[in-house]
Amino acid sequence: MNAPERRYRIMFGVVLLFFLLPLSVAHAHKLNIFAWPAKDKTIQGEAVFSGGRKAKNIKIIVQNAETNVVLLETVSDGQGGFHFTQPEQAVQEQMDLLIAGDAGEGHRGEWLLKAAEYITAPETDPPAVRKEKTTGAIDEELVRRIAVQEIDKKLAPVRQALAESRERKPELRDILGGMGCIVGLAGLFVWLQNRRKEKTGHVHSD
Amino acid sequence: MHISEGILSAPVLLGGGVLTVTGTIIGLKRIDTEDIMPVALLSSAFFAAGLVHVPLGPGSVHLILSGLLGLVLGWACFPAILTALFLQAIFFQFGGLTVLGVNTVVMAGPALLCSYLTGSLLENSKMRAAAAFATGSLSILFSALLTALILMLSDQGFIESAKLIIAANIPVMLIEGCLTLFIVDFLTKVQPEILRIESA
Repeated sequence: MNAPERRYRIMFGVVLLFFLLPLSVAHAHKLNIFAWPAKDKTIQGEAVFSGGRKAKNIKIIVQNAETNVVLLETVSDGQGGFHFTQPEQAVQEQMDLLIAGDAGEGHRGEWLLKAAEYITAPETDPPAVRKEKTTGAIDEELVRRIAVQEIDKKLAPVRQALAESRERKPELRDILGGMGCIVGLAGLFVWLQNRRKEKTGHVHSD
Repeated sequence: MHISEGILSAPVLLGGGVLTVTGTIIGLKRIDTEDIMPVALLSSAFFAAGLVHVPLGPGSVHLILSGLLGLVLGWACFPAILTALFLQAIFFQFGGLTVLGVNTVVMAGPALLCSYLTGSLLENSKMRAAAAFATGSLSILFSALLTALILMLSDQGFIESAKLIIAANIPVMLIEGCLTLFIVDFLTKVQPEILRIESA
């Protein structure tokens, strides 16, 4: 093969070398914030960099998603987790919450928690008020509240897994797709260049 | 060193955009038909390198390759890096679209600067290895400093940010320096014209 072909094969080989490196993609390109409703009217969340590294001790800011008014601030713990009580104002006004994390160094992530996701029906009065109920009869309200609490507890890890699964991790097909786009753009560029040269009367000859 | 969306102020984003557009136009004008393959291949390498990690101690690092792109492509590193960052942003939300201009300048600017500083030293076979290493590692260092500077413009302390970002990227600087050294050495033997060196 002649010189130009050979050099392109070599360059292609160099690029291909990168695919021999382990392809698990773990790095801090993107800060992911996940949040879900948890028991006792709290909201629980997690701050994780793309690839799995936990974002420890970073600032978490909870805002009204529509007005961007800051409702409260907190800090993630040593495992990247955080939690806060649902702000009264948010529940009353049925606000969508924008939960943002700032890890410094230019890394920022957000999670939109819709009102419908975390606001449940208002709780009924505590059992103390219901003394007039006949003893021995099962207090329906109490049972209902206990059931809701237990379900919330069980659902919390499921919600967490669901939130995390929404993150899209890069795969080989994405890498190849990107490279294909680049090569396609390059081809388009060359075609345009040649057309321009033909129009001006020059034909590129080498 | 991808800066995320929603951190920088509008003037900074606009400035980054203008610089990137300028650099890209200059870069595109300088690409000849026969130069296009290295541009496409290196842009692909930059794109893929940002996604592939190498385990290092407790964590991992990923390759950047900006120094190499600056050396081989010159001004064409602007459109090459812009394209790769754009695809990373729309595919994986790495960095972002409004902040694309700034991120491109942060990566391509230092690469271009280093290639100007050390490019001529590549001719000298004794200085070549040192020049290649310097290009690879200094590109990363200048990118880190530039990132800290830009964050400072948006109300984050410069000294603190700079210390953190540079410290985090020291392993990358070393790896990039070595990698650039090896690749330049390889290219010198195989195809020196691509580095604008007379055949060794």
